[in-house]
Amino acid sequence: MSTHKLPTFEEVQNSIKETLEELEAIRVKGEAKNQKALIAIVIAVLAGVILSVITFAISNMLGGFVIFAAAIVIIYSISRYDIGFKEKVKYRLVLAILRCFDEELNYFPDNHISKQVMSQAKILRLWFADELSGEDYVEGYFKGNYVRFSRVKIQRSSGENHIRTIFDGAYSVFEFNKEFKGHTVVLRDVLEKSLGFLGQKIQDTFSFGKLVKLEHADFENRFAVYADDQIEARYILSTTMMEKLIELDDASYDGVLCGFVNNEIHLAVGGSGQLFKFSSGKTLHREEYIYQFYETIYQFFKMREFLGLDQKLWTKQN
Amino acid sequence: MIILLVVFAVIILVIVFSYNNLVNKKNRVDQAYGSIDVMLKKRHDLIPNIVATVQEYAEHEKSLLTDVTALRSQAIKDEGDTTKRFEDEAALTQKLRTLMVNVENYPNLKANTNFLQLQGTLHEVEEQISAARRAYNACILDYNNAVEMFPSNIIAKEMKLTVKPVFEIPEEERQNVNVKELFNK
Repeated sequence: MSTHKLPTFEEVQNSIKETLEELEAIRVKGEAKNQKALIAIVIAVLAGVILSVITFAISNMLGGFVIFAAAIVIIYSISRYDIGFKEKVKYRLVLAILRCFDEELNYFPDNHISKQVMSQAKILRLWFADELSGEDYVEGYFKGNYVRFSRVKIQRSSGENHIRTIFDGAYSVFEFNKEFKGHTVVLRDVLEKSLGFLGQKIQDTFSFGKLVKLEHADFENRFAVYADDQIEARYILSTTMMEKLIELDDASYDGVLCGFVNNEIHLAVGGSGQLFKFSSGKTLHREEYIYQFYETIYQFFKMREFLGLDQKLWTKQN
Repeated sequence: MIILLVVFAVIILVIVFSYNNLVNKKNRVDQAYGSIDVMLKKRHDLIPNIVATVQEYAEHEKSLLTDVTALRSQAIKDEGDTTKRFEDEAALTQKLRTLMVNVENYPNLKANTNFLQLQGTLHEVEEQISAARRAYNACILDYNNAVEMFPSNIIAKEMKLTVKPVFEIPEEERQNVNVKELFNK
């Protein structure tokens, strides 16, 4: 498998053929085992109820024995029920597809990008959140560059039994292809849109970092940029980069936010739902099923390529 | 009487605010110009090495290299005149871009480690010049607006402040480079 370009779906399919067979066998076995356990539980419950009614009429001891026997069967069947096999299959399947992109990528199904990492960029209102969750964390090296992404969900309680979602989508961190010292953030331009010039003045006064006014009219209308270094912000946000962020914003479900810090770009792309939805009831041989996993991973690395992050610039050659 | 005092106080406040605002914007322009100056000087320092390296391998580019050297000298000479300097630097940018396209014709030069490093450094410096220029033009826009708009234009006139030039890219440079034409020159 080539590590110098993104693999096609056909290449991935060919590469994971053997793994897929193995995982399908595990899935089928696991499903069968669970089905049997479920049937046994249902039969034990029904038989237990019916027989206990009959036997209690004859003798309490006999009725008690029937209930005891039914309970044993139910407990034994529950112990045979394998919840873990679904996670194992999903984990191995996602990892197999990831390794087609690069051998040094890893997958952690129950983890997500840490709050500490996200706090560095300051593009999400983490200080506002009561609950932070996520899953499907991918981390490792892609073409020698450190990458991380996962689903992240940030929620806040507002009133009794009411939870508001502040952000639900994909959060990724990639090495940027330029070196910079400061901190630049690109946020939605809510204030200027609603309050015009006054909004701009408020942004300038109360935000962290200085407001950076850029020349690209469309970009200025969508985003508000703050930075601690005006020149560095323009060095990072070249005209090409601004146009690419606009395209990404248009293509995303719920808009894009980004931050540049520690020579990395943090991207928060809104959009609900799990990154890798797995249902053990469906055969793994269905092409569109595997394609969904492949497509999710492909989109992350395609986004990185689209932003030009795969082009090593001169200062980062070493 | 009170109304007169209030009107007078407002006028004084407007004058003070306008004066301070103009000074602030002027200082920002000077600061931004300083950043461009540093990057342009870095480029000037690179050019002799680039010319010397390219000369060894690319005899056919003699006239282009002569133009680059001449423009560099002219830009250094015109450092005191912002408008002329910007014109010289914009012309120099164009010549360097042409040179970097033309060196594609010389595989031996492209394989030279020293040249690759110089080319990389030049690329980086150009990116930083572009960023500094954009920051400078943003400051110039704010400053020129303050100098020309009422009522601060009255204070600006008293302070003998005039509009300053932006660091513009000439029209010919903005056109898409016809690569085929370049190689046929």
